[in-house]
Amino acid sequence: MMLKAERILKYTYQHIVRNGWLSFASIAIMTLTFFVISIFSFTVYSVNVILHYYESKSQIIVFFNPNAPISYIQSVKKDIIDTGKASNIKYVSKQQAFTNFEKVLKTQNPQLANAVDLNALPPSYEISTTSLSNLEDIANILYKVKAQSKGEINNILYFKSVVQFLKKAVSIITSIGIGLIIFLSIISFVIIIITIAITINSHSEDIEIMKLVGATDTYVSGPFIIEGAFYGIIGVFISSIILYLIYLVISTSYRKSVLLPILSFFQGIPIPQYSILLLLEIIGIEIFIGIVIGAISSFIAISRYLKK
Amino acid sequence: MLTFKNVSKNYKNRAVLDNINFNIDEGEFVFLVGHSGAGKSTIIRLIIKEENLTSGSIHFAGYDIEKLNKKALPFLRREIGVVFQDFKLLDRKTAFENVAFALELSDHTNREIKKGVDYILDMVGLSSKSKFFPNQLSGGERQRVAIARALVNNPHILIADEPTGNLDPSVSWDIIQLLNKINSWGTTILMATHASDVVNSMQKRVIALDEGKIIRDSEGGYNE
Repeated sequence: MMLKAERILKYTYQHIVRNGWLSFASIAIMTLTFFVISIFSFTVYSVNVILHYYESKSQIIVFFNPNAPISYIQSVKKDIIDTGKASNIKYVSKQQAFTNFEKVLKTQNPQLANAVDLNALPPSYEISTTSLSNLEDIANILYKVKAQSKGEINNILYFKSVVQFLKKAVSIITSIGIGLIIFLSIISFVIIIITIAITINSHSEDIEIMKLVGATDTYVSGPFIIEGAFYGIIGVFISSIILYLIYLVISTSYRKSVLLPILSFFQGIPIPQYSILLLLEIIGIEIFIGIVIGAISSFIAISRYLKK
Repeated sequence: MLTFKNVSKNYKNRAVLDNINFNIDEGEFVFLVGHSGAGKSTIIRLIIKEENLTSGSIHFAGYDIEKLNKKALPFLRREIGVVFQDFKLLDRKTAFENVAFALELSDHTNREIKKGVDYILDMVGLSSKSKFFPNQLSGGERQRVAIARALVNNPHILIADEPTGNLDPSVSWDIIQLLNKINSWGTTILMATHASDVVNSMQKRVIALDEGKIIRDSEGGYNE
């Protein structure tokens, strides 16, 4: 058994080394395929992260009447907390609102800034949620509270159309992205199968000879299947290294904002951070997929000859 | 050892072998002669079960070839050494590796393989070219590698299908001498050929075929 395994590995090595160009082409195709799929997946993921950033930045602001009792204001906060859907509730007092207002107006219109009275500005809650649907739910509750109030709530600021647009964008981009990834994957796997089939085709005479001198199917197919798996491993490995280098360049230049002016537009949005462990996990999964796809492609291609 | 009993083979209703009967005993040297298309190669393909017969039976060294399943086929082939007109060597393997491959299939140890291959390459006169790839060897040398590969497993029978068909007359003669030597050591040989001078000079048993039928089975030259 060990002897057989050792020989199958030896034949695999000979196939790969003595077919230099074909091996190179197969590895190149594998690398390219995994690279394109990975780039696409990361892009879709990053767009989602960016959209979620905007999603999390969306807020509802409830303005209270400047004379509203603090107990009422706190009861509204409790109503919001009870929904369990708010991720952050920030109270902006009259004093804080005035300071913020003054800061903005002093540079733009100092005269107006002096004219505004502290008591004219309303206290408010700035409410954030983790998802847009939660934001909508809270907005609906607040509208109800406002309807029941006796003038304690002045206004509710909630940009429904912007929120709805974002919500739609997230769902469209996610479904188009997943659809495209599936489509790309299918096309790529077909390309991989064809490439490996071409490699095996170049060995068709060898396969016939091996069978004529008494090789079993395992002896004939083993090296080809391992060869396919090997191309998968190397392809994933190389594409992962290239991707990681690209990620490093983009993430450092993004922070410094020197690479592309367009990146500065996104300043403030946290770009997805990947820990080494997560990256290794992703590479591990990709290598597993590479092995399976390479081996299956070889198996499909070689079975044609084994049936003869 | 090898028996054909009422063997017929049809391709799309056309009979290429018609009721073939013969028996070859251990240690014999038999020529299978006839024009192209007479059915020589079909007989060889039936023995190694590269094709299935239409009717009759073939028995070889305890195997009923027709009843052999796909799993047992490799084991039959390891007991038959076959030499082809076009050599059928693995181009990406050296002479040594080509011969060793046959032994590796039957799970010999690396030490046994080295010893066996070195011995057989020496016997066919190629020990100095064991690291050469087939495309670095002449036609005669390639055929010697093929003979070495066919012999290395110590087969019951060595079947040669037009082994000199692609070779110069002088090289052909060397190959025939080699096969004769192998036969003298006890290996049964069945050689398909239409080289009348070779058959005439050897004066061995000749099975002559014409249009799929045996027209002669006796010792002597090509046309006797």
